[in-house]
Amino acid sequence: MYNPDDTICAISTPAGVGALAIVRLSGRNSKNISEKSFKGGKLEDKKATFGNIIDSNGIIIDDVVMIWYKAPGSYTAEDMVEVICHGGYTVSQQILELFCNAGARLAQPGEFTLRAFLNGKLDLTEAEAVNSIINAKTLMSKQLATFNLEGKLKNKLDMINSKLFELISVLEAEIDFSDEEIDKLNYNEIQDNLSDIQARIEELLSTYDIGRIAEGRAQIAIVGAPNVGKSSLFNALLRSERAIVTGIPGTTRDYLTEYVNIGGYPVIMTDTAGIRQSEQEIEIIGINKSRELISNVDLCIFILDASRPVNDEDREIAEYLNKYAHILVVNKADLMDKRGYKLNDNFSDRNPLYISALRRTGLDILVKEIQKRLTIDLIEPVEGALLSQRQYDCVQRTQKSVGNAITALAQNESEEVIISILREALDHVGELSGRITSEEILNNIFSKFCIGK
Amino acid sequence: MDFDLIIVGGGHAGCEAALVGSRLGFNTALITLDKNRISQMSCNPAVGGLAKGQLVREIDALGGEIGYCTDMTGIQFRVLNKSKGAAVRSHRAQVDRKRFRQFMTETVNLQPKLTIIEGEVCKLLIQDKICYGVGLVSRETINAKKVILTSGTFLNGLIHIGEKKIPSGRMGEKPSTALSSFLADMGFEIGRLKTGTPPRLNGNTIDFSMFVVQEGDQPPPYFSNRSNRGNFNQIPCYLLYTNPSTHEIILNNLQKSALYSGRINGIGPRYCPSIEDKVVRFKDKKRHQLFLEPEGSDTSEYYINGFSSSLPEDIQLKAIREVEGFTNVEFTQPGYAIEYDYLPPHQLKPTLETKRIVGLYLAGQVNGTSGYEEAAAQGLMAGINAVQKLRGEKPVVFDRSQAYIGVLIDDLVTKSTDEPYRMFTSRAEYRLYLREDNAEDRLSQIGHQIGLVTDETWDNFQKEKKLRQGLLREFQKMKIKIPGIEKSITVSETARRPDIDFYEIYKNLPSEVAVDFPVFEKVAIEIKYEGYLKRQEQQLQRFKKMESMHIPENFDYTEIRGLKKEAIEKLNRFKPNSLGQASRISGVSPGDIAVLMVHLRSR
Repeated sequence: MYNPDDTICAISTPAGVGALAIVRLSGRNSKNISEKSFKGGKLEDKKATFGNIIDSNGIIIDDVVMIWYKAPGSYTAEDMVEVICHGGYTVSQQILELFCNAGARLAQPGEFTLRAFLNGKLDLTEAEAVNSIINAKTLMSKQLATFNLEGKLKNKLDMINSKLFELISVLEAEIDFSDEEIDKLNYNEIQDNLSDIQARIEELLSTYDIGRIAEGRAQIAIVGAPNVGKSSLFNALLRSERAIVTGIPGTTRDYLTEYVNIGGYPVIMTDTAGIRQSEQEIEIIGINKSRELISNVDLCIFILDASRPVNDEDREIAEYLNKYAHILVVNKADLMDKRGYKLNDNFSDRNPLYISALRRTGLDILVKEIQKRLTIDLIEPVEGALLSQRQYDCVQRTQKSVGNAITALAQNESEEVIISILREALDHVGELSGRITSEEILNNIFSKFCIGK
Repeated sequence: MDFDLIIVGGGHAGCEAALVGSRLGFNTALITLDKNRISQMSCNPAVGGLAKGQLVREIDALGGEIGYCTDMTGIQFRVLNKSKGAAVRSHRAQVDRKRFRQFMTETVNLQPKLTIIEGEVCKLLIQDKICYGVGLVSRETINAKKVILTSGTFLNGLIHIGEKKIPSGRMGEKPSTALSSFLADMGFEIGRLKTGTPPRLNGNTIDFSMFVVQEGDQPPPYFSNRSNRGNFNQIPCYLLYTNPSTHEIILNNLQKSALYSGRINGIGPRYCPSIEDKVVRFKDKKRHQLFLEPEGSDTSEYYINGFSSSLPEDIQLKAIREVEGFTNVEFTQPGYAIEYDYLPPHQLKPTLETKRIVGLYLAGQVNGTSGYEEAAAQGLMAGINAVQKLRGEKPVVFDRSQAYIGVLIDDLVTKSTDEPYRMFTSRAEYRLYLREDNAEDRLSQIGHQIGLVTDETWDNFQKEKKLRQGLLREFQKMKIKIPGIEKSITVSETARRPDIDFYEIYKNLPSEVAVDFPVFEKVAIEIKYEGYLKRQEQQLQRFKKMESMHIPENFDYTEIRGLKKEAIEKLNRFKPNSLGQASRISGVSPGDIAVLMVHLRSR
């Protein structure tokens, strides 16, 4: 595990050619280690000092600007040094090696932020916000993360925390001071308090979708029978709306997956035709995979072929899709019979969108519809939103506990039982802000950082 | 004279400790200032109450004495919080103050291997930080392998009644003055606390018809399974209230109160404020509840709970006479406040041995607690741990998930206290499990192993437990029909439903189930909480894991990078013995704990 006694170092800028690069040190020997290889002015707290980095033979490696941050006035609350050197592959590597030879060790992913957390500079939601800012794909997601770094999510959690705490305190008093005259809450007041807490929790849960969309984690899939034009639509949408982002998270290797720009946000689009189903056995795997995908995405685009009547395969897919959000699209509208396209009872949606992927007609309307269905129109910068699955899970567990407390109250359960459920809720909130923590949670969170933050 | 064990002080802590030592075969001396005041109840004539009842049940399950003595001398028995769940219900008994003292005095006097010595201890014999005996004011010295100090409120005790100050350990008893400065010289941190007690009233001058009568429960609920006293004629208590005229007199004379004139330096308990405090701090309240408790069965004296005061006697009397029913009341003793020295308990290990001096244990009010039950629990544990040490065996320390006793001692040594500490059920995270009904299930095995629980008591408990386990299994399948419930459901299901009373279930059990209601009730309670306890399991595992992460005794926190300054200071002060304990110290943040965890792992 991480030893907090070590002085750690890392290159904090991305690998590759650029004008400048930054090498960072944190830990009690930061200043010592960096000074050993530095020839220039005297380092002063939070002042930029110009000079040279020299190797053990006194050979100049680079002209640099060095900044020393005296503990605890740094990002990690430890002594830190930042070396701003020339970019490219070699210089920063050389400096890093010098520092390692002088006693520093390479930082683990996220270790700078881990230290900031361990030293009490950030709470967990704030530490996660740092990660979100760095990985922000849109202005909106950067904005949401910035709010969290400012403590907006923490404030909301603190409020839920203190409301739970207050209610528990009052109920506790009724147990421990029942033989004295104290102001008691009546049934309705307890219920009101619980509903208020639950409303706050639900508000918080509702912010998760905003965060997900803003972070480019909303997902759509193109579904339909063979040869209806799934890949054509996939390519048509990409040609006009390809999102300028790279790298897609998750295990998407089995599908053809790209980011598509919907209303200004990157949305993950998957072509189920990309799921291989050539041989018999694999076909079953393909179908299972499609089903799994459909149950995980936010929206499906279900394509029918206007050049032929609806067949059994279409109907089967339609039936399966009934329980999932989907848009019904009739492709090859240019080849449609003059009498129109007939849908039967298997289709809950009687008003399909008519498009032609090849001729690229009707695509604008489709994109607008996707935008509407993903509630992208409603996105606004919420102060204090849930930005990770971990945060969402914690709040969802809190919601469940509070729900259980409401049920227990309705069933006339006695105070000590209701309190034990509410204390559970308090634990869940605490886990989120890091008040209640465990090594596993920490490891999980910090393993998602890349080196040098 | 040489002993294995010396107990200094004959209060509730001292008696338990002395009985543990002698019953387990060690030559024990109990040194008291006054042989006739052993186990004197200095405040109200009652034992038990919310959370305290649990403590008494636990002491009894471990083979202690206070529960049995209460049962034998009680004059009224009740279960509190009956409208709430079983986990937070507690026994409470009014006792005959004089008979309680006589009964306990006789118990210690008749106890083989226990010598009662009258005298005042003024110093401890210490060499190389090891305590080996005590020195008396009479210049006599007594050697012992272990010393347990249970000096209560006697260290520099000072009674305040209005402007009068009387150096005293209890009303009418001289204080112990030399010992406190001796302890300070030894390097112990000494603090000062305050507590108060209300006046005692002459019952012949009271008009009881004005009050609400509160009777005992039928049959009387006893603390101990050893008690076999049966039913008897219980004596009632009374509920009454102060009024605005009472309050006015108190407010007009505040400057005469020792508390409000600044003559008292010690910190008093927030949960047990004086009547002056109540009237000043809750100005809007038109009345305050009072509770009139009988002092015994052959006395007309009464104790007026809720009217603790340090006003001059005449003002106390004038104010209380405004209460209807008390128009002509006379005092047998005025209320008073008492200040005393205590040793902030972060100076103790969880065994109640001091960190500073080997072989010296502290128990009871000297550790900053209040209450007979809290004192008795500590006396018992100090006694047990002194004996374990003499035997060369492992200490007995309960964690917070095992017993209220564990919660009590952990709170003391981990959080210390700057006001008199009292037990509450809300202090216990695992209170759904720490119940009165299962005290034996939780603790008797340990009591039996140590040798305090007799074979006879143990066998009886085993028989009952076997019966309960059988019922627990049967009740999962056995269906019964309860009037008002449409279909018949299993007994287990009925027990889990909040809308069905346990007695209602008991009455509807098939006749072939031969079980007494108290035993049935225990089974029903266990079923009722089973589900909730399962839900706490994960939390419990996390707790146990943290408790098991041991920190070496002389661990130096100063050199650990990443710990905040406040945390270093607190950790060095408290010297926790596990990561779990460290996490409960105020001023130590989760971040600090994470740093500590990392550091301990990398060692």
